[in-house]
Amino acid sequence: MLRAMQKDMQRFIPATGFNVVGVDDFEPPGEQLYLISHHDDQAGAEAALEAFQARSKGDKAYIYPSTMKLR
Amino acid sequence: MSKGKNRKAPDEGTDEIARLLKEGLDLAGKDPEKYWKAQQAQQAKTKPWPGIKRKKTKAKASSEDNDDAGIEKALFIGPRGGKWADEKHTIPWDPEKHGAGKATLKKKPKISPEKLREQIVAGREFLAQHEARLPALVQAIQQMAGESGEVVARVKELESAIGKALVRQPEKWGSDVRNLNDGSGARIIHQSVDQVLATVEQLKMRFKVTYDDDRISKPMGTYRSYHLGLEDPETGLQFEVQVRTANQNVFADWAHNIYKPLTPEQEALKTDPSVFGYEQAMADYFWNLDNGRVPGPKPNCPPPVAQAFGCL
Repeated sequence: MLRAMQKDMQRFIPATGFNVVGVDDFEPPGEQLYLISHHDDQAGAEAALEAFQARSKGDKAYIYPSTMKLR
Repeated sequence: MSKGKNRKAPDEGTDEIARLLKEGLDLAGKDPEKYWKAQQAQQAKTKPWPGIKRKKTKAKASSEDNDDAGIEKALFIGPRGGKWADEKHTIPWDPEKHGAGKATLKKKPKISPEKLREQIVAGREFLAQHEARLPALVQAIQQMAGESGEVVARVKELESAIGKALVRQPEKWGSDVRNLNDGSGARIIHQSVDQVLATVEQLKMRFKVTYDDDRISKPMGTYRSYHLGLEDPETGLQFEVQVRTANQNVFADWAHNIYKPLTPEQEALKTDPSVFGYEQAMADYFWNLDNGRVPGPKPNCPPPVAQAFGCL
């Protein structure tokens, strides 16, 4: 399960900038992430994350920076 | 949408689609026919379509614009922000199938702006129908679950629905959010596998079953949960019910910690071999507990797990 989830994460790490990524935990492992928005700057991503969390029905969301490295 | 000082030509398409997307998001509550006629008249006067050269007008930056641009990139470019740095991770984000192009919007997307706009409006309506029916369905499901069953439910987020129907699995869902069979979902949590299976039988008797996915007897790796696709007898809406034990739920929640970004040093710990050993050992431990068997001692939580995930 963890390997499938990590592969999903890999798909959502941007080459540049920042992705705001949501987690739909009703989807099966490996298919739970979805893109909310992409930003060139961190401040924009943080604002978008905050806006999403305010209107979301409960899905968790994170910022994935291009510098994020998975093995 | 944020606009850098040195924007390059390919981003003009991004601006246009983001604007269309925003219109779609703003449409709720308006008369669609009048609204689109007015918008089309306005577009004809002021805005080019992607690929048609016209002087750019500077858009007001807002977080909502950024959200819209993000959805657009999910659909047309892919999650890597427009640059497919690692081709082996493009599946199922196949640029050929999904019209992404390799890095920019120079290639005309196969999902047209009109289609996207239509899907956003349709998606909002579709999810609103689920939202309206959810309380009644939860009540019915709670009856099936009995007093010992804890029920939680949610309606899918629009971004998740669009990403699933148009990008992740467009062929399966016909690129239409209205075809999704899990616009809403409920989860029933029990203490034992026997209780789970009893509730599953109750649900099967009460509702029309559209799919039956037993991931308890046939787990996906270490993931165990019983998924049932059901049809609302009053509206015909399809929804999903997941039935699992409290231990299976705790285990799934624990695994979600993998998504939380950590420092580079901590990220490296997530794939330490001891993590996967602990994952399997705890899954087996819970499985024995849920089936009333003596599971033996609780598996030790190795330091990489404690640091990157926390211990179960």
